Amino acid sequence: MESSHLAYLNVKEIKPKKTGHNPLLNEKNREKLTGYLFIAPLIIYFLVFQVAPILMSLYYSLTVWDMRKSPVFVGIQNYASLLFDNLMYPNFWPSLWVTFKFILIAMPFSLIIPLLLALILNRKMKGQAFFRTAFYIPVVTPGVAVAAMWKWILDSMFGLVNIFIKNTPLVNVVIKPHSWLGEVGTALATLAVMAVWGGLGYNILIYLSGLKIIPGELYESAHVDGASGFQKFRYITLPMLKPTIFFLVITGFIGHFQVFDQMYLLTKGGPNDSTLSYVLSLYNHAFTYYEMGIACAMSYILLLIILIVTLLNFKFVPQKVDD
Amino acid sequence: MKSCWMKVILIGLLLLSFSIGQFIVAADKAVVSLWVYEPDSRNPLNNMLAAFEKETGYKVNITYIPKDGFNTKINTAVATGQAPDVSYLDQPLVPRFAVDGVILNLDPFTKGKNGIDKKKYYQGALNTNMIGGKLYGLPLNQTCVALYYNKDLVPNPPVTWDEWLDMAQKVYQKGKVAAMEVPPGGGWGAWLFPAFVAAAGGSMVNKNESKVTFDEQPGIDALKLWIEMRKYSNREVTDSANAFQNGFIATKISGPWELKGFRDNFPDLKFGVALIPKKGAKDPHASNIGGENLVVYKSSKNPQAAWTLIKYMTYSVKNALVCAEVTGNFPVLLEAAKDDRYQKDEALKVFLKQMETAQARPRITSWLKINDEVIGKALDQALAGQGAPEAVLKQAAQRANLIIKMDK
Repeated sequence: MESSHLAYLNVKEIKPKKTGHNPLLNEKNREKLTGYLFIAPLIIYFLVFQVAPILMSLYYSLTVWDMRKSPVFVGIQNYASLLFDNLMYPNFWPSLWVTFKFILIAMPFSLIIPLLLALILNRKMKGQAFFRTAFYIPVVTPGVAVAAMWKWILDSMFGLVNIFIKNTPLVNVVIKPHSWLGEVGTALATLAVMAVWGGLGYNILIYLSGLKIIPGELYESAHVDGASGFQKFRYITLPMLKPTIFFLVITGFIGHFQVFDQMYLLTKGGPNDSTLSYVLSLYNHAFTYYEMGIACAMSYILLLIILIVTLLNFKFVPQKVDD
Repeated sequence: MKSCWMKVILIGLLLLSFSIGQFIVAADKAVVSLWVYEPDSRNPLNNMLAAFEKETGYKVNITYIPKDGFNTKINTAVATGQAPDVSYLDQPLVPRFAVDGVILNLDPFTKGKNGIDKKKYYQGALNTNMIGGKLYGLPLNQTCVALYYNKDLVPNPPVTWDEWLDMAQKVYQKGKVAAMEVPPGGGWGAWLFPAFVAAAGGSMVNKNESKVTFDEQPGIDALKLWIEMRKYSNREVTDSANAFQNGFIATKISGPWELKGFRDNFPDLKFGVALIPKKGAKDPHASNIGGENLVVYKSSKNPQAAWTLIKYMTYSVKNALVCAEVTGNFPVLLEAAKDDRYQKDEALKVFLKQMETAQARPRITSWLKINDEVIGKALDQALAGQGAPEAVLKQAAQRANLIIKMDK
């Protein structure tokens, strides 16, 4: 049993030389084949569930298709209508603008707050493991549960946030309790706060791993030279974290451009479309109005936008330690 | 060598498990697949279908799907050729599915021994199945909205809009009591809006449903009422969870599906149901019809069995009552509505009365899109103060007419 197992796993050792056999299955090819077989499940998955839909949606983006009748080829009409036909597709530009605003609010905080927290968590202190776990919990909590929790925290009459505002002196002078998700002025910002909070754990983890690889000698010699804590942060930590920050900027943009869950679960795009993000609008076209062609075109336009933004990031955001 | 055999066996098992399901279906031709909304309890439907199987010898394969994702699932199933034989279908989707040739014209089945007398159904509900003069489904249930009011805040419900506004000023307490749960616009608000337009003597579309008319004076008046009501209804109160149930809202427009929850979960709430107030003495107490139909898909291999099933579910008083009960709505069979449970219940009696003046949605193929994206958006804008009611409704009407034209 043991030996047959070995034979299967390690053909080379047991049968070192066997010529004149099936030439296609000689030693080298056999080894190659084994390798391909090992990665086959992933490749097949990738081809069937990723590449095929990507290519199919490119085709469908050039058609009018309601999923019930067969698609009708219309060339680039969907793209043109989305960009220029404000009467038929009034949500295209506003939803893009909503998404931009969302990114503008969420991005800075989702870069800065996790950095500060990571710096604190990186020190040797009591309860370190507990805090690391606690900050990571939102990442592994299902979005629906998180949304339900926020709904109660933000309830306009009985939510913790409004009760805190009402009963705290000074604060209740500046801010009045109100419907955070129900008013045009605050709905999007509230969702952005939720997104920053939800992403904290992941970003902290990335920052921590970035901090871990900064050599301790750098700090030691800076200490000998009499550098202050801030100077160490400014001239050692921050430059050494450049690749980490760059990674978070890139993935942050890509993730935030596709923001959907919070809107879908909590506001459905309201009030007055102030939280109708691009992908939520895309979803509506696909699954509420059954305009698959339009939805596919929208996803390709989004791909293009994300591509451009990512290229700009590569050009302008420093990515190497010595940049 | 052993492991090789194991692989063959495993793959074989896998293939077998794929095909077993089909073998079972193929073995018995008289199987009808049925997709329904997930109800509170599955027992009533399961019992009804067990009786159906016993009586007819057909077998029913029922699939329960949560209401939220139902339309998406049905559409995907149709797209991939996996549609069931029979399913519930929300009223406004019937025209689209009929025009696209997805569902079966049922006229041939209505005659003969296994036929029906169409006059036994409520005509409003039945008409939501009539597309171009042809029948594409049987009504499953119907519903409409009426006025819920809090008896502690409002002893006598308002009858006209003027009385309603008077009441609003009296009950309003900033941050504590709201006069009305003003709909937030969007698809839901747009669905309620026609009731108000009709209560001002107007309509959403012209007689032959070729053009929208909600931008005329009645529509403007209806929207102005909402904007006025909003002044006495802080969002801080109306957006709170269960605000009406907790006694912070004086009036709200909603359907009979809320009754059970109100009665079971909020025993302290003293509420009544009244007809929706109308603008002038001569205008009607209007409302709007909603509900689901049962349709048969063209891909069905056994349309005769499918027809037998939908007739069974809707055409006898006993089963019509079950269908109404599991969906929380009203029966569509005239005889069934005479049942004691509707005649003796104060609230349900009002809803039945309100149904008499309720109107169905226009049977325009893209009505869902017009409802959500055009009317809902216009209401949102006007309620947020971005434009006068006249202007936003006019712009919305232009867009709606354009979409109607694109349909043709």
